[in-house]
Amino acid sequence: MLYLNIMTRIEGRKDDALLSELADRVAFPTMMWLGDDGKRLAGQSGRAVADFETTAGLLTKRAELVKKVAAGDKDAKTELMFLECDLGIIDFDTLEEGVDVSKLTAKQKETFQRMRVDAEIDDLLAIVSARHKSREAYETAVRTAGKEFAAMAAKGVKPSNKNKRLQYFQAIFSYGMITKDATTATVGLDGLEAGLKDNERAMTWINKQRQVLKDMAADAADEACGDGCEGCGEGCGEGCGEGCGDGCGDGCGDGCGG
Amino acid sequence: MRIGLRMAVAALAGALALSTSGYAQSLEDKLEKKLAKDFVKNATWELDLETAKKKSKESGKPIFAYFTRSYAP
Repeated sequence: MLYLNIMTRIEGRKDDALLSELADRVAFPTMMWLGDDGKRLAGQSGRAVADFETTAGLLTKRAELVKKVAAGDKDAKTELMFLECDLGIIDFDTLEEGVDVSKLTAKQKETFQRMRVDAEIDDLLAIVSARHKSREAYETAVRTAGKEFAAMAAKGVKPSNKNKRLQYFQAIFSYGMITKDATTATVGLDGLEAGLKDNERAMTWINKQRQVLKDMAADAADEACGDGCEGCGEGCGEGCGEGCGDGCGDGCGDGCGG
Repeated sequence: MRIGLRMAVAALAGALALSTSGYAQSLEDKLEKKLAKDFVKNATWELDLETAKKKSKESGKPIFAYFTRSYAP
C-alpha cells in the first residue's frame, strides 16, 4: 500500500504537516512504514532497495505475529516484542518489562543482551546528538559519551546497527581529538573507515585526519621529551623514552645535557 | 489629509491581498507540478491518508509512506 504525502504549505490542507506529527525531525524526502491506524511502524533502515525489502519482510512477519498473539499464542507474544523492539516500535525498557528473561531461549537471551547494549549506546548517542547551546556544551557531551564508548570499544563492544556504528565511532574520534588522545582518536577513525571504505569523499576526509593524528602524536612525543630534557636535539623526538625525563637516556640526542 | 491616508491604507491592503492570493496560487501551481512528476504518475500512490488506512486494514498490509514537499525544490 503506497501512500504519498506532499507538504505544500497550502493553508488548511488536510494532513499537510503529517510528517511533523510522525517524525522527530522533518526532512525531505522521508520514507516510513505506517500501520493501518496511520501510526509510525518503522522508519527507513537505509536507502538501498535491500534495506526496504528487509523492513517490509519484518513488518509482514509482525502482522502474522499480531494475529497469533490475538489468538492467545504466548510464545508469539515474546517473539513479537523482540521484533517490535528491533523495529523501534517499542523501546528496550518496554521489552524488559514485558518478557521473562529466565524463560527465554539461548538465542533470545543473546538477542536480549545485544538489544540492551544497543539501548545503552542509544542513550549516550542521544546526549551527543542533542542540540547544544555552545561549543563547550557539545564538548562536554562528547567527553561523557566518548569516554564510555572508548571503554566499550576496547572490549570489542559496538552497536549492531551500521548507522549507529558510524555515530559511535565518530564520537570516539571526536573524544580523542578533544582530549588530544591520538590513540583513542585512531580507534574512532578505524571504525569510521571500516564503515565508509567505499565512500571516496569520506575516505579523503579520513586520510586527512590520519595525518592530523600523526602530527598530534609527534607533538605529544616532543612534549614528553621536553619535560626535564630541555636542549634535546632532533633525535629526541624519535628516541625519547622514559629515560629522557630523568636526565635523558641514550636515545635523546646529542644536545641533551641532562 | 484624512481621505488621503484612508486611500493609502486601502491601497496597501489591496496590494497585500493580491500578493497573498498570488502566493497561495503559486503554492497550488507548485503542487500541480509535483503531481505531474513521473514518480507520482508511474505508481499507484494513494494521496489520502484515510483511504490508505482503510485499504491497509482491508489488505492486512502496512502502508509505505513517502513524504516529499512541493513548496521548495
